[in-house]
Amino acid sequence: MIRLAYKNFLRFCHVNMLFFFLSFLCLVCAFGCFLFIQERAYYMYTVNVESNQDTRVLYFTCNDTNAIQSLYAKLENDSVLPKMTIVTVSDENYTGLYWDGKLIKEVLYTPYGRFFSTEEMDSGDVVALLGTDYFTNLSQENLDTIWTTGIDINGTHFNVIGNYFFDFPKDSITENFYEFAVVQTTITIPLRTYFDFGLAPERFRCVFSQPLTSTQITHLSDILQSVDNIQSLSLPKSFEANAVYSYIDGIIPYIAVLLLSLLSSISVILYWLRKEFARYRIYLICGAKGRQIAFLISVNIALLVTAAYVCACLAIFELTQITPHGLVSALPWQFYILIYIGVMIFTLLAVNIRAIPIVFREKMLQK
Amino acid sequence: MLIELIGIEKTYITRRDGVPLKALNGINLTIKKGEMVAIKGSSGAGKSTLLHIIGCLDKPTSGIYKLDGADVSKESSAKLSKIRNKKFGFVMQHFALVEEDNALQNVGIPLLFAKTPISQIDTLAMEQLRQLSIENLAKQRVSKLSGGEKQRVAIARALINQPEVILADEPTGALDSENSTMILKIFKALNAQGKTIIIVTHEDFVANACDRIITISDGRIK
Amino acid sequence: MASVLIAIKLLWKRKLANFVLVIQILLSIIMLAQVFVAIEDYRDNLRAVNELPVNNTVVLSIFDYYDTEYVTQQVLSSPQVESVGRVYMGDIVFCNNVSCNLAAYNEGIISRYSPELQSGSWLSDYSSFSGNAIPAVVSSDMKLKVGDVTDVSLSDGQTRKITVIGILKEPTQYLYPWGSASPEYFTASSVISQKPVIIVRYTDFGETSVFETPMDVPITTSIFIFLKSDAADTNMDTFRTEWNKYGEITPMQSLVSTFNTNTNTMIGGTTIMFVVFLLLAATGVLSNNVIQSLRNRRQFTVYYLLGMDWKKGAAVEVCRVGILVIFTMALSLIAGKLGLLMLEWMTPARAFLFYGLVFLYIVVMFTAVGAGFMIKLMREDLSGLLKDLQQGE
Repeated sequence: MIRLAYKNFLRFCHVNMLFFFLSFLCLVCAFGCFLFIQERAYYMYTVNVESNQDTRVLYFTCNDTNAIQSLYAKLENDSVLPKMTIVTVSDENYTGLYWDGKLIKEVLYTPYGRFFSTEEMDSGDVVALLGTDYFTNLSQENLDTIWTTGIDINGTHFNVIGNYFFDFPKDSITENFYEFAVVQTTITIPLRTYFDFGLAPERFRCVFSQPLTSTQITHLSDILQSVDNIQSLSLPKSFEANAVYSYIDGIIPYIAVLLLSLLSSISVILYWLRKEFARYRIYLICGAKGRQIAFLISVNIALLVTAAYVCACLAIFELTQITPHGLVSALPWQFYILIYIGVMIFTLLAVNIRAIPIVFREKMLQK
Repeated sequence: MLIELIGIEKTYITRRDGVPLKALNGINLTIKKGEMVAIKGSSGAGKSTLLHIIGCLDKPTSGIYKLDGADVSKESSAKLSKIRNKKFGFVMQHFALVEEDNALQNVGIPLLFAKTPISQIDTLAMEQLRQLSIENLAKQRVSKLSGGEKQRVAIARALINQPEVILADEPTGALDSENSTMILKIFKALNAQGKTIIIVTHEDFVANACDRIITISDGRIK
Repeated sequence: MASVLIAIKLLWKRKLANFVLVIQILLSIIMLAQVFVAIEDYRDNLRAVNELPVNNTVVLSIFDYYDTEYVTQQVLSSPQVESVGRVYMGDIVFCNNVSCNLAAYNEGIISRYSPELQSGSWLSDYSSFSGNAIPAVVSSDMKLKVGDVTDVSLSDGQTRKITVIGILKEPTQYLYPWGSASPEYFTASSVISQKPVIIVRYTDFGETSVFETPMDVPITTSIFIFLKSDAADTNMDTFRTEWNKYGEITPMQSLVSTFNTNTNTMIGGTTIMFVVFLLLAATGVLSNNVIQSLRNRRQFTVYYLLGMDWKKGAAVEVCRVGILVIFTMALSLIAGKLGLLMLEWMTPARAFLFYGLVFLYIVVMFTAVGAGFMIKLMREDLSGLLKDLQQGE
């Protein structure tokens, strides 16, 4: 049966070359556009994942400053949880910041100067970064000299090594801000330095190096519950809700048009296939079963769809290479397989639902 | 004479090998007004080709075709269309109706090309259906009608412009005997009203009902 | 009339397919509008970008906590610096019933930057004035001509008299550093404006508070540092080290190349999106028209049998295409009015050009297969068509 189906397909394409090309072209365009839209949405998904990090961020506030420090130590040494790549603690005036240099390109943009080095962070050096808000209150002369004179924190001299944009008056900052901000005050020092100097953090925020699984989230929740006075807790999400919504948002406006385009292509295939119905009726007269006819039709469609899909994938692959950065992102290979299965099922169903009744119409048999 | 064919020849160039095929080979034929003529012949004899030339659907390769005394063999397509619309009514074996339209709409089609005011088309079409006692089919989609009903709608359409000549190509070919008899009766009635009827057929009972039988074989009249 | 009626019938029979087709075309038109906007946006800045002083020039976007005058003096004290250019940006002013920008250029800018004028002369051709009316170069949308003397109403209640010495070339584009960013993102379009403007020499304008920045509103000012011609490229790192504490320093070349890169990305991206949706629309057009044409073939054969001539057949097809074109064009105009095509800020001439392109595009798409069908039908022998008809389904 498969051989018959394959031979029929080749003969059919050869006899109706124009229609074959038309159907093939329509399918390639429809699949190609669908894949392109998917890649565009996937790019928005990856951007969202990188910026929001919903599944990796832990935030909470706590009145007990010792609790925050001991929790940090616990989380750092926990074998179940992934490593923390960015850690922020803060109080009214100071932020303690740690970054392991991984996961993202740059944790904090410093227009002038530089961010803390790994050695400074590890050894708890007395270095500081100042937000632009800090400079507003300085005289013009001090603006120049602060890089050499430094600042005092709790009586200790700190070298100022760089600045960052920070323009948020204290009274305008909401709780939401702390949940998302890497730096939370006008003065930022290394995390180790912060703890070494006995500063009293009220807030804790960290970004794990990987998304947390449900088990890990439960484990994390258990750890936090063992501590009293934890407030405003925001655990990592079990899935990147915002990212997924942005992915769906990227597809939804076009899905109706894409489906309609696919249906247009299918109408061409159906019109083309009608020329084969006479042959199928003869097969029926000669004793073929209904499901065998359905099989023959399905093989025709499957071969056409597969050929068109492969061409579309190749075309999109080339297009992705030449597309300017910031528009699309190549999909994981699993997506291509899933999309292939989806369009195959859709096309087979659509064609068979229309074609089978026509083939099996009794009058036609008599004809 | 209404229809006069003098030395009509029709040659086709077949697609496959480019060899010319002579469908009609020196046809001389006259048909008077009010005659009912049957054109008989075996398959491929040239019956339909002859009918198409008479009905101005096709032009002869050579020869003269006079219709009402005027030579139409060299007329333009536009002129032939006009003649077709005004002078001829066609009844085909497989009805040649627009399946998606209803009977009333099908009957009104020739009026569209006859520049009849749009407001009058439905009225005239309904009247024609009434004359054939099929006004009950007016709003029914043609695809839902039986063979006999379809052929009667086709006849109503053929008569809408009051043509002088009715050309029928195997009008009973797709019908059972009961419907065939009914259609033949209609043709006889129309002939009695003075219409010229030319029927291409291979059925004896249809041919025998006509005033004259023309037998055609290998593109020649026997 | 009959042709129109038949055309409407044919369209109505496949109303769903035709509706889908129109929506697909409309989507591709929306994408085309984005390409258009991206290209026009580029053109709106291109002339001014090419006029910017690029050689040996760097832009310093001063941190808002620094006093601009102080920084300017610090920069000028460097031996490699020839001059510093600054654009003083005032509040919106009113002149000749037009609200416009007021830009005061200092000598550094005036000597290095000379925008294209459609009439008159640039400020560099005039030395500091000593008369009543301040020499000014205005944009063409101010509806003034060279030699006009008129009043400018300032935001502090004062007025100044200006005399028009030059009119900027249309469309309006001029140096006006309204934005800044880190060097990676700072682009030439951030220092260009297209709004109506009066440009004067700063020293001509006299005492006024319109150029003073309010204390509670931090504003980033950008100054243009013109280096001496013998300042080698390797000095750029030295300059960065020296001036980075005052603000973000970006070579002018970088501004221009970022502009070009961003523009290429935008135009390339929107073009690709347009092509994708064009292909989608094309599949719809192609399949829809082919199926319709094949179905219409049978119908047209019946019509020919009943006395329709080729001209009428062509007229029917033209009517069918015409109705589709008019309907789609109407929807495009409505989409434009609803803001879907982002054409609000286009000049009437550009909107006319865009809709002209849209019309052409729609006509080509809809007639593509229809024309082929008509030509094929005209060439075919009617007898042959009838034989096909007789053979039934």
